[in-house]
Amino acid sequence: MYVAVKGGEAAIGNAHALLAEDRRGDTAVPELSVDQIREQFSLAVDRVMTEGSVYDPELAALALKQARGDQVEAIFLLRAYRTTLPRLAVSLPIDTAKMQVSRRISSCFKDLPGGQLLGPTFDYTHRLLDFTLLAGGAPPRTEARGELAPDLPQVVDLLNAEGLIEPEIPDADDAPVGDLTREPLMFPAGREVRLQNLARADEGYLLALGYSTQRGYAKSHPFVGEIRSGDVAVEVEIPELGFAVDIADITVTECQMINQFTGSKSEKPKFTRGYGLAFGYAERKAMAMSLVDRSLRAQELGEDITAPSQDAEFVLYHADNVEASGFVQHLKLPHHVDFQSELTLVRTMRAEIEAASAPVAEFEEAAQ
Amino acid sequence: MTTLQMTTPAAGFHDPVQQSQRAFRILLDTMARPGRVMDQDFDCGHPGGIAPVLAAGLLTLADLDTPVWLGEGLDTPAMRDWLRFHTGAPLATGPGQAALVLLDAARMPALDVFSLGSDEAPERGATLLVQVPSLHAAAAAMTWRGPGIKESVAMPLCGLDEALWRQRAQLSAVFPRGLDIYLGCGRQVIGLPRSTVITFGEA
Amino acid sequence: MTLQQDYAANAAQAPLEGYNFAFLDEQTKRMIRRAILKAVAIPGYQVPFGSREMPLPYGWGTGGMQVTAAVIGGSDVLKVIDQGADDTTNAVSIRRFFVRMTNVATTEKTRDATLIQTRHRVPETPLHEGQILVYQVPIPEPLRWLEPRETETRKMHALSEYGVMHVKLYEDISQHGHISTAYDYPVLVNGRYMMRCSPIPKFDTPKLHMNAALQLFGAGREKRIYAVPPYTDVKPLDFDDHPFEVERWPEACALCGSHDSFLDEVILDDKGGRMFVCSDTDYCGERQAAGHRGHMAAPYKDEAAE
Repeated sequence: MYVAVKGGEAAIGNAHALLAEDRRGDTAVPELSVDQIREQFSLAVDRVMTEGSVYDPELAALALKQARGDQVEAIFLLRAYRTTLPRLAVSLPIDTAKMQVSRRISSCFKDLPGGQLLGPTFDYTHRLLDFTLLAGGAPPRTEARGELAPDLPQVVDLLNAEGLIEPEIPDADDAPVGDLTREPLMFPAGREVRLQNLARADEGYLLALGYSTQRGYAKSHPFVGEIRSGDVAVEVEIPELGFAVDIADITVTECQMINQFTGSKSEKPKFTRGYGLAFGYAERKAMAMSLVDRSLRAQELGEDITAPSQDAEFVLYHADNVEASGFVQHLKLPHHVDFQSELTLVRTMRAEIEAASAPVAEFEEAAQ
Repeated sequence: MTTLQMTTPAAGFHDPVQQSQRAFRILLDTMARPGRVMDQDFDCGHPGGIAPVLAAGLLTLADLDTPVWLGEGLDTPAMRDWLRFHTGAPLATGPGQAALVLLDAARMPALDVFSLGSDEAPERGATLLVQVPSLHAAAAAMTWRGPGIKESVAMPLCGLDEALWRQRAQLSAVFPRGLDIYLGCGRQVIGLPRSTVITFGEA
Repeated sequence: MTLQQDYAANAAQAPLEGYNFAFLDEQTKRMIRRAILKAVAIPGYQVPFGSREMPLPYGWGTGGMQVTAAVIGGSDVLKVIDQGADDTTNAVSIRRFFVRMTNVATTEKTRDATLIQTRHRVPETPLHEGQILVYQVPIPEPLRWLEPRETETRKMHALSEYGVMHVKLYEDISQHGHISTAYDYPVLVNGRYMMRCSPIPKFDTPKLHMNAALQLFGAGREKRIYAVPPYTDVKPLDFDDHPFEVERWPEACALCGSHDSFLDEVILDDKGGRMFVCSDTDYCGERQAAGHRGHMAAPYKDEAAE
């Protein structure tokens, strides 16, 4: 006698209870607060906000706590929450030239109008485990936090005077701007849609693609024109008032990558741009994004499309880690109906081959 | 601030979440079963001069993303206020730019002024909400066949000119481009998707 | 209230307090509803839509869930199946989600449901006119394995240019003597659009043809919705000398004795012992309740005695 296994409901309940227990870990250790995560894991929070497409450090920290620190899971939680939010208004473009910068560097020029500011960076730290952090201790204090003027020219624009770099001309105010959170990705995808896709894209994926452009998969000779991090105002135009009001300050990291362009029959050699932008302090992401943005401009610039990073359908369709993680992991779901169909098919085909080759098999046996 | 002269627009759904769901199911069932008359079994506010079932259709489908074209006789200040207030839908700059179109059977333009979509994006073909004097008539004048119809269904002209029906019949030749049409009268509605093939006479 | 208090309140009460009916906001539902209506009007054509992140992962039924969420109302009776069964974990999870978000009635009985969301099967019990069947679709594009580029496949659909698929199927036959597609078999809808039926077994493909129910297909990750209206011609692609055929089993269901249903193979031991049972648990249960018995089922009187 056979009794089919039931009880999906009970199994799911148990799994949820176990997950909650494991998330909390040893209860003898004090529970992390969302405030602690927001303040002390701020770079993790920044990544969740960027790829989650919601600027809210508290919710991103909550998502990280709930996800046991798993970034992709936290990003997913924030995205699913985002789905339920109505759209109230559309902001004006942020003006990063008006950023209150806490970091600003360029690799192209020794000195810049307005100055460079190293800011809080890992760049020149020696990656030695700091065992004093094991013990905790008094909070570090510094007077080193510098400040630059709030109105700094973009370094890449300094090259404009000579016509050495392509100008970045904004679209007309009434030109439609795509939005992947409301419309599906369609091709050919405009640059604004590509940039939105890349901003939401998985950091590791962008890093690998960007890296590939430096190793010969797409011709790229990049220089960091400028990286700046800091606070910018978000403005919303209120139709009833007829002017824009500040609704928030957000922290962003922007990277303008400069690439050599050898020119074509119709165009003189010049420099072209790749652009990267992320919420919070996310320099690796912004840099990788700017490399990929530039390589995706291959078609527009008349370059040969030979590398994965230049193939817009390939890059954009596989960039989203919420989509990718879901589809890879869905292989865990039962597929026994499809597998049964394949089993039946493979058995039928094998039986037919065996029937057709039976005399040969007998002959082989006889020979042995 | 400037003071605008405004009258309060007519009411819409009193329970937008539940009523738009019920109205949608009627739109879905009628589009899936062309020629079948369905009744809207609840009330909704609407500006004068428009069938409640089509008002519910607009409230269910229209929003910021759907330019609406108001046909002759229906483009009134009361209608515009009501539409803007409840849906936020912009008025289309021309009939060819509209996603949703509200029309009166007595004042129909030629069907080719509306967007039929393209072969690569046929879903951009417009949806027409047409107010008709009646959905029932003693004499059937045409036969509908196609997806959603078990064999065929005999249909009256529903107060539209036969010439217009012939225009619609000819659109089958450009399928998947085409127009998707609702015919509404009071609280009753019929769906006519572009996939329905129309022939005339008893055949 | 602070945000945190707000959240704690939501967690303590039914999620209905914090979320809109059926989870999605009304603007999103409107967008999906418009896409569904166009899908119904153009049978088999994949309508692009602005798919949203759902609280379940992509690949686990988010497309079907968005379609269900846009369609479902308070008076619906919902059935959710995965692999034909109501109690597989993902079916349980999706059903629970909709109960939490809508409070609608649910059922395991195919004939009592007004709305059925499915993954990988079409129920054995014939559907009727008052029903909507929502399929979860992983890859909506039937030509995708033959042409990975969306820009190209979109053109092929526009021109009704499906030669590549016929060539593929023909190569199967010349190489294997068979069409080697066992599930997600390509069909032509209303003589116009080539369509994927989602990964249902070939066995279920004929059920799409002239079905009395409305069939809706949602692909969340790929952001497409398509439909087969009731009473619509759905033809599996085949050749005159190699007509379409469905799977057959040498045995009947070990529990209900059915010869006509799709059977799951259950491995009983490590010596090759196995049995076959209906994949559709409701169908199998109904047959057993009506007194049908397979060779491994509990005898009828035992059950009565318990």
